[in-house]
Amino acid sequence: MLADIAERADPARRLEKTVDWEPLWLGPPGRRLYAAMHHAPGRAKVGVVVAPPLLSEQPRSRRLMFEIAGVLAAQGLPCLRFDYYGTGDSEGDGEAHDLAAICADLDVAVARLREHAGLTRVAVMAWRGAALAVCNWALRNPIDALILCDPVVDGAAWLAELESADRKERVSYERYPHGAGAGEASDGQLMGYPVSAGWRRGVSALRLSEIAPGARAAIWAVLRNATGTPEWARRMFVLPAGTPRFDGQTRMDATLFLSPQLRALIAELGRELARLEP
Amino acid sequence: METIVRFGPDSRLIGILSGAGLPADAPILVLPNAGLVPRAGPFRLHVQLARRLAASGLRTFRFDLPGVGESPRDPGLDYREATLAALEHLGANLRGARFAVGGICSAADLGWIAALSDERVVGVMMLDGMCYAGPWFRLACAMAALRRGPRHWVGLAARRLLKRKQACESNRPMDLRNWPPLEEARAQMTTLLARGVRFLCIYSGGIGDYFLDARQFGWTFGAAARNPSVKLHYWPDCDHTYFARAHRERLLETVITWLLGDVFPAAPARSEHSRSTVTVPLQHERVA
Repeated sequence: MLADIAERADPARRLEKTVDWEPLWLGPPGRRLYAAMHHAPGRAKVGVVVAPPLLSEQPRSRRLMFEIAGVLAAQGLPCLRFDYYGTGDSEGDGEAHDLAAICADLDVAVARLREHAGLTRVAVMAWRGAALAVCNWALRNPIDALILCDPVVDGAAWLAELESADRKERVSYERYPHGAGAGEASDGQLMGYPVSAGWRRGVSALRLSEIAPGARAAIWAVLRNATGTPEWARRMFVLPAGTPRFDGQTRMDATLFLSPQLRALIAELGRELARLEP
Repeated sequence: METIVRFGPDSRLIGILSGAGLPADAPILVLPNAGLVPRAGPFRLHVQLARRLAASGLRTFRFDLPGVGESPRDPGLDYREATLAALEHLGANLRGARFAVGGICSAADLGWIAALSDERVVGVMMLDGMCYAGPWFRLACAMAALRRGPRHWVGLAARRLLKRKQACESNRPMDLRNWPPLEEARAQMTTLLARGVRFLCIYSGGIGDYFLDARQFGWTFGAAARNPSVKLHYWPDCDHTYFARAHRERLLETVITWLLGDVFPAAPARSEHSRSTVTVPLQHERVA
């Protein structure tokens, strides 16, 4: 029902059905990642790997990432989406999902897209917490461009926000009207997902302003309510007003969809990326 | 090992089939989306279930319904048709397979509908599925209001004056989820039980808008509710999507016990099928 409402608000969604995509596995058995390649019409020079948000924001935004990949592919940019190891439909347990694993995932995904016929440049579009992880990866791995969308800029502050939201969720009256609650935080979960000590340590050590200058990539920032281009970014774009927030929700119907305004921004990013210089 | 399966018109719907090394006729638990949650399930519940069941000789097929996750919005099928298309595709490729279908919320409703439409469905898993309010629900509401005290009563009266009650009632699940009329639901369950279908019905504490007392189940389904083929649990301490790890573990154990004990007691154990593995066609798989 919500999906139908979203479509009525944005008839352009129907056009995505014309863009071809295929699901696939990346990596060796035992460490396979579920991925999807959105093919672009014509001969493309630039491809995009989409790195989804982390933890509870990842399933919420799966539909959004799917729609974004479709828009980029329609702009002529082959686009590869994937689930991190230990998340979504990929192999592995949630406890194995940490910064080192994400780096390995990015290695595989970027290598797969580089194999795509005719591509000379590859960009990574990273959303929310993935911006920190991808920037961290780019310290050692050259890439043509990083597009950091609504990025988490301070890992420690974000972790504190997540832990606070998790504490509230565990005793939420809306979730537990009969009063039992989800029990102690010592069960190793954060917002319903297993999170290892390594994940917490790794993420909380990252600040975008510190790592972005060392990244071997041109960085574009896509920000909310931005007043000026951050020092660490070469270019800046602004998310449309009303773009829904990714954080703080674990309700099962809290799915994010592509609004017409956000679609226009993604299309603009696609056009700019298509002109990306080596 | 899991396999990507494309099905439906022009193969535009996609699901993940677990248990690649199992015999072709191994039973399959089919899991449509729980609401708008992608097919991996709330907090990856479907993935965990698939892995544990595969180790016990059962396959799982989780898929995205039209417009959910990464499925197109207009593949020419509605939710019911998409679920039946999944059964048709699996049945055609894995001959002899029998199914259990269901899941949380709307997936429970699809399990019910699939069982009515396809005789290969021998188990229905209803997690926060159909149940009507009735007198026990109203009594539970009244008791809860009494416990909350006079301040709550004033608020309740004010809301009624503002006619919000009508708005609330128009959002009841029985209206939104296209459940059949009560008498029809009872008759359908009787029919399914006569066919040998097994039911697992678990109601959580997160559906206080229509379920507050386990006796509602008996009121809704009558004598069928007492049939030994129906397993009923009321877990008021759990929420609708099993946010807590301990609650998910309880759910996983209960579902697996039901599937292996009630629905598919003859399912081959992992050790058995590993001795005589039959290769199953792995259609549409892409390995990079």
